[in-house]
Amino acid sequence: MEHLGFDQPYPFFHWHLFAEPAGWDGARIYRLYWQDQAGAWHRRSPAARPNYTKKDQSYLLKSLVKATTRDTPHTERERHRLRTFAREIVPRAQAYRVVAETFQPLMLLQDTMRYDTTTVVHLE
Amino acid sequence: MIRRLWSTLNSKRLAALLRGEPADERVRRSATGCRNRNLRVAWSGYVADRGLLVLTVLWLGWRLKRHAMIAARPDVLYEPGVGLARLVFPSFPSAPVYYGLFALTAVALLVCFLRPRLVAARAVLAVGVVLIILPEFGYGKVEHINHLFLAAHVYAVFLPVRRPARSNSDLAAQAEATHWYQAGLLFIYTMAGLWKFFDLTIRYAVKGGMTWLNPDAMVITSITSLRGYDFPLIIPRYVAAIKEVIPLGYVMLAFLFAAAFLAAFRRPYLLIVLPAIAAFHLMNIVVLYVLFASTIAVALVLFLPYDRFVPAIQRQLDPFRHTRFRGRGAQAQYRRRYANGDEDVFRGFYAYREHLRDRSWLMAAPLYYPGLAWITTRVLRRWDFARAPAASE
Repeated sequence: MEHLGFDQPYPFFHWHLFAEPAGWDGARIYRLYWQDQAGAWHRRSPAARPNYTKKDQSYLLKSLVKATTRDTPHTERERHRLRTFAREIVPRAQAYRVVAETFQPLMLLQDTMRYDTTTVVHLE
Repeated sequence: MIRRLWSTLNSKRLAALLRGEPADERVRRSATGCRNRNLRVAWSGYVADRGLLVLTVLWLGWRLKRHAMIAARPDVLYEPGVGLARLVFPSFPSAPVYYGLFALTAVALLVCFLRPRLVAARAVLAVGVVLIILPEFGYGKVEHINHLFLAAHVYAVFLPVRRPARSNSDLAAQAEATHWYQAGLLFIYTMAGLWKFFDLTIRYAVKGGMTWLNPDAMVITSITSLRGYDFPLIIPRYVAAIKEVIPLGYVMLAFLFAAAFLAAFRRPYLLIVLPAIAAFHLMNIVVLYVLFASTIAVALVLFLPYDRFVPAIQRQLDPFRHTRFRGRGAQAQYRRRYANGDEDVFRGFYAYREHLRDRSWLMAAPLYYPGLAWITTRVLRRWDFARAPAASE
């Protein structure tokens, strides 16, 4: 049943949402970086676009990155989807990177720049 | 054992268990008392259902706006996220299909306004709203924000909604259906509450890691959530300032939610559960940026006890001429006499609770928490027993 999405006994299944505090053993957030015509890289902070709210972008980026990094025969198709999405968000860029920002949340409260970055996907 | 369970399910004992009132001489409601109670429930259910239909008009308007946004996205981005969406809309629905469905749902909604009891219209409306939201689930998220709204429509198919009248022969059935309708919806919160106990136990015993009893838990979750949108971390700083009270709030909420479905039968308890639901979702909006505004609106519309403040409903009820409270402890007795001569009688703990309820639902509300009647009744008996020898000296 799980592959059909009917794995939950009760259809309104978000009753066990936030079962544990999110990010207690280190948080991980995906961020879109883009390269301008001069070759400089920019970190894109989520801002609403005409067809995507901030939340839409956050969920879509996360799910597309997960699909792209999963080891399946469809990786090329998923990369194409991710690229399409990146172009929707930042249309005139030379290249894109999806960067995972990892941090300890309480440290971030002391200094908002205390996070590590790892490039997860690179798209030309 | 099975026979006993079955007889409990079928008997007055289940009703007594759910209502928190014993089916013995301690609570004797007259026919007028029962009719008043049924009228209150049936009217509240009726007004709530009308309110739900009005909210649905706004919801459909909002969906139109959202769908225009979604439809403008490249088709390749759409990938149905739930089983039902994979079955119904494996690829993004074309405009005629989607707006046709939309029009059909709008017509069903209009019919429901005029003929609320027409099951076919209710069913089309319920299926319609579920299908209308499905394309939204094709972009990496399965939104939980609309679930109370969708569940309300699905359950409403089985709700015999009609304008209650004092002479309705099926008034009791309508009140009973309203009880179960609300209980079904509130059961979501009961599961959430019970899950918290279950989950905490597992975490302590097996899994390990941080639990919500750690004062830092909410601060950390708030930072993780808000950072995703690059919001300034002002709110987490406020949360950090009051972090010691958060585990207490968590435990309180788990206890309140675990009994949430009983509020459908023990209506004063709604005055605790409803603000708790609203506050919980409001906290999620502010602290975690989970935008539950529509859930709060749906919960308020569905569960507000309209009979407490709508004069038109109160005019339908048989007024009582006078009430009398006598005695103390287990011997306490509360009588409520109606203008037509009927009389309700409550004894012991139930005399105190009903007396308080007639004065203020809010004050009486905590007394409807499950188990409290059982404990208090025993305490009152002990108290009487302890007092008895002293009185004879």
